Amino acid sequence: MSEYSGSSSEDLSLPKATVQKIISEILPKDIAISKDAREAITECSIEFIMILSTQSNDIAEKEAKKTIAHEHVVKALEELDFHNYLEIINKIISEHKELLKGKEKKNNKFQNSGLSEEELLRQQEELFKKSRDRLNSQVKTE
Amino acid sequence: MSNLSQLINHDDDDKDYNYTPNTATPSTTTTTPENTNATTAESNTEDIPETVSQEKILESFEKIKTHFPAARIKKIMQSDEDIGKVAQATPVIIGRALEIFMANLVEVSILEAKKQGVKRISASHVRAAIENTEQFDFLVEAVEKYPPLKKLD
Repeated sequence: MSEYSGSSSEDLSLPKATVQKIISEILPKDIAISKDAREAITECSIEFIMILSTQSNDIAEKEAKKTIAHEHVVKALEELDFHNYLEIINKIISEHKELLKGKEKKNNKFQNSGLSEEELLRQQEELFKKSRDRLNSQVKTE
Repeated sequence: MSNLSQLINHDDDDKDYNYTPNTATPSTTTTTPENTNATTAESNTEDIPETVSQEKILESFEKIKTHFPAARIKKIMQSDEDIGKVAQATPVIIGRALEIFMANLVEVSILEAKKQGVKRISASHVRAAIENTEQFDFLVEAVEKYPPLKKLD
């Protein structure tokens, strides 16, 4: 619960080992890379995540959507002039379609829980209220 | 479901960490970078392309077998308080886009190193690569702190 308060900006970087591994997978055998260059690439990667998230968020907001979906990311890539990434991304998305469907199925399972929609809505409201209360009490204690 | 949780649970614990650095241990017999630089600079300039082709990026991207943990990507995304809820698949897709981006950035950096006839990418090469690539304009500030590339004459 309290993991939120402990998060510092330091641990919000990409895992070093993963960055290193990916770079070494890309590099041809006869090319090496300095530590500084690796750091520069890590920093740029974070910038890339941020600019892509911000753009995706703007697009989602324009469409009055509360959740950033993969469609928004695709549009964001387009708007940010990364047209050349789209082909690969669209391929990956179609490969992940199962994954997206899987989620729907899970929702259906929930709907098939035997409870009426009203009952489910009521439960949802309760959950909302609970989390609101929790948030309020957190704010107070701060 | 299983697919996704695999991606999400893929974390950076070093359980199967078998990365062998090809930078840390310079092979003992080869000449110093300066020497290779001097000898290969002339012969290499001929076949260095001006830009990195789409095929090259794709080829590099396909070599990537390691993925970023989606949970971490999501955390980084939401470190900006404006970013609200994200769908489950979104950090996964952003992670993959990031891999293409990295393949792209590494390839243009390799090009800069090759232009100088060296076989080791420095931060200055990364900076030069960013400055020479229009798509990477948003990164210019982020790499300003690294020394600019010395001009070859």
